[in-house]
Amino acid sequence: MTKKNEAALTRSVAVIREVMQELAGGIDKATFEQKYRGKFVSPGVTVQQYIRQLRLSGDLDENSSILKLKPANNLVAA
Amino acid sequence: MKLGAGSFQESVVVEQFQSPQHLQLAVTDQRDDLAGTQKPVAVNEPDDGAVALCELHRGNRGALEAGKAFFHSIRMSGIGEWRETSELASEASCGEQNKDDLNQLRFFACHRVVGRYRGNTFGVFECPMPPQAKVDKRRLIKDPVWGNLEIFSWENQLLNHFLFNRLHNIVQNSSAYKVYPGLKYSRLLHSIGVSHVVTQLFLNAAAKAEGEAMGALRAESKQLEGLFTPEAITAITQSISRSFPCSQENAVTLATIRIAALVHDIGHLPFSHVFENAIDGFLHAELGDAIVLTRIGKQKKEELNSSLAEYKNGHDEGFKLHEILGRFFLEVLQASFNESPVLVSLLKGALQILKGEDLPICHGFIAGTIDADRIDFVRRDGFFSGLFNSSVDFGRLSAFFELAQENHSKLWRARPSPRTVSETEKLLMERFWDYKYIVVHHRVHLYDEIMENVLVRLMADGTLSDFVDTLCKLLNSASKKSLKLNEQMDRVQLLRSLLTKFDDPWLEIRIRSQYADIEKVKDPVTKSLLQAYVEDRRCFKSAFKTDEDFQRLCAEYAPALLHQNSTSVRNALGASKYVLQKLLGDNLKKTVLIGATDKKLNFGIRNDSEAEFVNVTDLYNYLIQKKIHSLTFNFWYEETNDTVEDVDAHEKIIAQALHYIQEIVTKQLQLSIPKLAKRTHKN
Repeated sequence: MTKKNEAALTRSVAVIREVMQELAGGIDKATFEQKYRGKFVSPGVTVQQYIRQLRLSGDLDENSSILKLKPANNLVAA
Repeated sequence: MKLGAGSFQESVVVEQFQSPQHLQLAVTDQRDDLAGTQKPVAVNEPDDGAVALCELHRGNRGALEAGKAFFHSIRMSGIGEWRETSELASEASCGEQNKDDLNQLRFFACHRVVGRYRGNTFGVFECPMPPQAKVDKRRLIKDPVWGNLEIFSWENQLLNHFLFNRLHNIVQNSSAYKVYPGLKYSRLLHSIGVSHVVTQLFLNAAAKAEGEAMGALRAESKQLEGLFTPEAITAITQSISRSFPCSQENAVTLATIRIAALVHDIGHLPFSHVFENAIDGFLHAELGDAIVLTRIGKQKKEELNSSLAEYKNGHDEGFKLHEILGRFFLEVLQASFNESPVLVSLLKGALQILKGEDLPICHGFIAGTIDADRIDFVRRDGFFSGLFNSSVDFGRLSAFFELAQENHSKLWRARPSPRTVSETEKLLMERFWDYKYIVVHHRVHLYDEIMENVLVRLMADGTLSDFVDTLCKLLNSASKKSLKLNEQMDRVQLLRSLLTKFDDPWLEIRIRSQYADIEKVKDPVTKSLLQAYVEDRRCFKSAFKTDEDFQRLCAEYAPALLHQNSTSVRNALGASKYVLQKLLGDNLKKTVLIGATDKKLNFGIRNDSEAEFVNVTDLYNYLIQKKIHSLTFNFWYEETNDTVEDVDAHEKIIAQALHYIQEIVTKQLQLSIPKLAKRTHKN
C-alpha cells in the first residue's frame, strides 16, 4: 500500500474514530451536538445521522442526557 | 361566442323581444325556483333584487340569498344553444321600492346571454365592456396513475416555463430503468401527481378541522394570504371554488400548497441523487491514489468547497444541494413571472412552505411521514416498475386525513387518522419494498455506483469544470446579502442561461463523448467504467444478491463487518470507498466497486415519537429489525472468463475481498476482530 493511500485511509475515518472515542467514554448530548454540528463522518452522512444509525441498530446505550456506546462495541485499543 | 361564468358586470339589453313588464311578471311567478345558480351575485344594494338563472336541481339556493331582498329566476341559455346553467349566470336587479318602475330594471351578466322563459325569448343581454376578470382556463392532464388531473391557469403558466420543463429531462429513479425498463418516468410527472394528491389530503383535513385545529390552519392561511393582493385572493378563490369543495378562507392556502407540490423537486440535478452523491464524494472523500486529481480538478474542488462553506455560513438551512438549487430555481421563476403577480405570490408562498418556516401544517402535507410526495412515488414506482400494484386504498387514506397536535412540540400537523392505520401501514411497507427491491436492488445499485464513479472521475480530471463553475457562481452570488437591481437582473440572467442546460441528456452526452474518445483515457478503471456504462452493462458481478447471501458470507469470512459496531464499519467503508476500491482491485486484479446501502435503505419514519404520531409504533420496530438484517453494503467486481457461472470461483473472490476489507477497516477503526472466521478460504 502506498503511503498516500495509507494516509488517505486514516484521514477518511478520522471523524468516525473521534466520535467513537467520545461515545466510548460517554458524552453529554448537548455538548456532543454542539461539537459535531455540521460535521460529516463520511460523504453525505452527518454525525447526527450517524448517531441515529447507531441508535436504530441498538449500538447506543443512552440515558436522558448521556450518549454512550454499548460495552461490546467499545474500542479495544485507542 | 364563448359563454362562461366570469365576474358579473352590469349588462345592457341589446335586443328586446318582450316588454320588461312581461319579464317582471314572468320571474315573479317563479320566485321560489332559485336552485342551480352557482355564483354569488354581485348586487350593489342590500335591498336589490336579483334575477338568476335556474336549473332543475335546487343545490345552490344559498349562494344568492345572502343580503338580497328578493329573487327571481329565469332560465337562461347561450346564444344558439342551451347551456348548463352552472356555466351561465345572469342577474337582473332593481330597487325593491322601485320595482314597479320597470325602467330601473338592471341586468348583470358575465357575458352575452339570451333570457328565455317557458320557451319565450324575452331579450339578449350583453356586457358593454369585455369582462375584466378573465375566465380561468383550466386544463386536464392525463396521468397514468391518477387519471385526469386538473391544472389551473397559473399552474399552466408554470408548467410551460422552460425551467419547469427541465424536469421532463430528469428521471425520478436514476439508473433503475436499466433493471426495470418501464421505470423511467420524469420528475415532472411525479410533481404533477404530488399536486393532485396534496389537494385531496388538504381538502379532507381542512374540511374536518374544527376548534384549535381550525385556528392553527387559519393562522397559516392568513400568513400566506399576506403575500397576495386582494384581487389575487379573489381570483384564486373563484377558480379554486369552481373546481374543489374548498372554503374561501382555505382557497389561497390550497393553491399555494399545489404550487409547492409542483416545485418541490425542481432543484434536482441530472440523474437525481446519483450526481449529488458524486459531488459529495468528489468534495469530501479521500481519493488517495485511486482517482487522479488534475490541476484544474483540484482547483475546482477547492473553489466549490470554499463557495459551499461561505454559503453555509450565511444560511441557517438545509444543505442538500438539490434544496439549495431549488431555491435558486424558484428565484428565477419569480423573476420570470414578474408580470403575473398571482404566480409570483404563489411561488413566494411555496418557498415558505417548502422551507417549513412557521407553516408546519402546510409543510407536513408535502414533507412528512405520510405525505403527498411519498403517496405518489410509492404508487408510481410500483406501477411503472411492474413490481407491485399498490394496495393502499388512497380514497380511504385521504378521506381520513386530519390535523392533530404533536405531543412534544404541541404543533398542529397533518396525519392520517388512527381509523385508517391499516392503509398507513400498507403505505409504509410498500415504501420500504420500493427502496429494498428497486433502489437497493443489487444491479440498480451497481449502475448507480458506475455512474457515480464516472462522474467523480470526470470532475476530478476537470471535464465537468463548466458545471462546477456554475455551481460556484450561484453559491457566491447567493452569499451576497444585498444586490443592486442590475446585479439582481444579471444574476437572474446567469441562472437562466446556465441552469437550464444541466439535465439528464446533458450528462449523458458528456459521458458518451468521453467514451467516444476512450483511446485517450489513460486510467484503466475509468476505461472499464465507461465501457460498462455505455456498452457492456453485464460485465460486473454482484457480490451479494440477497440479504441471506450477505449475512452468510460476512458471518463466514468477515464477522467484524457484521458484529463489531457494524454502523461504524459501514460508514468507514463509505468514507474510504475510492481508496478501498483501488486497493481491493489491485488485490483481486480486477476493477472493483463498493457501495454502502445504508443511506439508500430507509423506512421514512424519523424517530419513535414520529411513529407514535402516525400510529405505527409496531411497524416502526418491525422495520428497524428488517433494516438491521438487510445487506448494508455491496461490492461488484469485473467479470472475467474464469468467474462466469463458476460458483466456487465467485465465492473464492468474495472470501478474499471480505477478508481484505475486514482487515483494512478494523485496522482503520482500531477494532478487534471478534472471533476467528469459521472457515477461512484458502487462496
